[in-house]
Amino acid sequence: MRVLVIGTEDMTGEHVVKLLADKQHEPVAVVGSQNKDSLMTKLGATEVVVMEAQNFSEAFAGCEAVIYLGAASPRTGEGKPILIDHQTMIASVEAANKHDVQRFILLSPLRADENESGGPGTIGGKNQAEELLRQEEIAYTIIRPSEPVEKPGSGKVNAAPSLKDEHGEIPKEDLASVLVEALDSRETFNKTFDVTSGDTPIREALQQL
Amino acid sequence: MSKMKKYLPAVLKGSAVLGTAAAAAYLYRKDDTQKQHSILRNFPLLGRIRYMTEQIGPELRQYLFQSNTEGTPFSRKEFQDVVKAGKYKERLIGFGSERDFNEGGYYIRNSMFPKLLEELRIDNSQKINTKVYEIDEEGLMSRKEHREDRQIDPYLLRDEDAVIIGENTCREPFRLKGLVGQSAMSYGGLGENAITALSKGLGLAGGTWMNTGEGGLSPYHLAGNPNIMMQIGPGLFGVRTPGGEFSWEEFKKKSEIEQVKAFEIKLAQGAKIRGGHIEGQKVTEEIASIRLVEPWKTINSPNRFYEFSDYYGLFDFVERMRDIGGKPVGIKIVVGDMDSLEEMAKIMKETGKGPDFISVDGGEGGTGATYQELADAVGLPIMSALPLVDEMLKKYGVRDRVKIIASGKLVTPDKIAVALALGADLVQIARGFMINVGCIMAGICHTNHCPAGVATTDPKLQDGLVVEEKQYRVANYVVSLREGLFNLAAAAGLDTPTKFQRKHIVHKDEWGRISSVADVTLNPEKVTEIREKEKVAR
Repeated sequence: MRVLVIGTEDMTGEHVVKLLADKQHEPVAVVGSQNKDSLMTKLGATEVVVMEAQNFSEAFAGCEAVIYLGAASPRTGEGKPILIDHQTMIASVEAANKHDVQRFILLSPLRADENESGGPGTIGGKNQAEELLRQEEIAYTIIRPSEPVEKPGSGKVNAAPSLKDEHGEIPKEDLASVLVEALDSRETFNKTFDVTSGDTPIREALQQL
Repeated sequence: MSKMKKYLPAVLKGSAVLGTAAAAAYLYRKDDTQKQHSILRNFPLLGRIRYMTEQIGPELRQYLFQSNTEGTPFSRKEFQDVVKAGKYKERLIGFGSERDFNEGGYYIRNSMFPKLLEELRIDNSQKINTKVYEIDEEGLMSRKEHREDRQIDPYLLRDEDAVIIGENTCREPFRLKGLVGQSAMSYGGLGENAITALSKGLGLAGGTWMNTGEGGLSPYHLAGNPNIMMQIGPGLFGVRTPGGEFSWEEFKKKSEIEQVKAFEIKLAQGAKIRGGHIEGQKVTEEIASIRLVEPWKTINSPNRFYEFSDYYGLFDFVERMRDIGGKPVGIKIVVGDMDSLEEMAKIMKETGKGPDFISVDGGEGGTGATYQELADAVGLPIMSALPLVDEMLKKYGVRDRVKIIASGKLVTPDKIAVALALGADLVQIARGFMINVGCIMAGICHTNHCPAGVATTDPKLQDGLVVEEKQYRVANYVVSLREGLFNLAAAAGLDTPTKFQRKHIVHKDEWGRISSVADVTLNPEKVTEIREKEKVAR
């Protein structure tokens, strides 16, 4: 499957590209700077697209699926803080729709412990793209992780529509596996769920949703 | 019973006082009459205090009285920088540098427009799974901390930036995607736990290498599957016949081992222009079998190879090794004699032969055991030696045929960057790695009593060194150095540390005068010429 990966600057994104290549998919990596080309190719990207407004939408053409890592905007350089870029996210959903992409996996910028209905932690516009995505005709999956950490993956997670795990964390390697596994796990289609490090093998955890 | 209870305390007190007095009287008499120490004869008993304080002085100074930046060979600050890089994978400091900016030294010329992190030419495609310590609470008497898993970027060079040793001369050139390796440390000088921890850590970090030291290739060196550079000293350990001659058969066997990537002929070492020395009590049966020598006998290697006595002989020997082994062959030298250096370059040009790499060890280099006079006085320090070698090889047009590997207290990224700028292609470290497997700089490597279980083959002392724990520190240290090098390269406006040149550093002397290192000609004749002119001017 030709899969467009947006948000490759972070370790999670790097793992996603590598996992897709390992599973014989064709990852197309969107990067912020030309210099990232070599790393993405090394990880197994079939094609590398440098993020520029004019060709951004065209990158979706011919792709069957999109994995969008919402917490890491393609405009976020390595040296810059992680930006949550609503505009790119919304533009991506629109472009996916336009180019007839069948599958859209969004790594939500909303953390598993963030309250959607307001409360003390206001979520700003973080959920705008999610709302838009739910209205489109695309088979979507929205994944809200606990805190992603740079630890080796264990291959095991907990996934549920709502997890009450305030101090949870998930290795970025595992998070990437969840995103890639969700691609063809029918159980995750048109669902929003939380995920954190746990004790169920990833594939199984997704099938139980 | 009651009587005994009544008098017991008094008797105990009495005997304690009497006993002490008797001991004092005995020692007083002993000191007074002995003929060895004049201080004790003149000041019996009291003179012993001098001995005791002198004995524990180094420890007192190290822990209580010396400032952070004092102390040799490594100051407390340098020691801690090395430990923190391995233990916490941390190099951040607060409030500012502790370096003495009045002293002379090299500084990196920062670019007004440094490279962005995303512009650097790094290969981070293969992550490393390691473990680091996290501090929970810093207390007065203890520190609460725990170790946790961490997935880290390896900070390797891009494939196209890799340093290749023996690219045009060997059947199997040695490709390196990192600039920092572990310098020569023998099994025997270090115990199996230390060597195993180093091997595993270096294997985990990748893009680096492990030099076996002249003590032969042991199974512990191979334990973690790192790249191996096998050193051959005049003792020919591991590649000798029972009669003590070079065994081409043994050499061929060693060169067929996949992990062995290169050979290094040790002509000299910074701390000693003499053969290696290892006490008989360190030479166990196992060590003897690895080195192909007799057990329990003190080994003193000759201080020169019997196989050759000039550059022509050496280069022929190198040719033959390369021919039989198919792998790069280098030499390890200490720079002192510039005429000899020039002769080497000249013969390299003339014959078209020569080593694939030259390891230049500074006079400040370390060792497990040597004599004070050799360690302190023989050979130039690395920062002075490097440009000489670099310049001399360029003068004869043979610089592109060899890689220069520098060593000598280059334990932090800044020192490594300066060495790279002064002419090194690669850098190797020994003591920085020892510190990461537990060395506390006790300075008794030659005794087999190393308290940290590093430089000892004593199983009891080695029990203190846990391989599983230390291996991660070794890996973290290498990666941290590589990361630091990229940081400095970026600051100097370079996208990779392989591009450091002399123009990227300056030297400031103790009077604040700046001299460019780039346009200083290091041609010895020119230097003499300049000196003559200065004399006239004065």
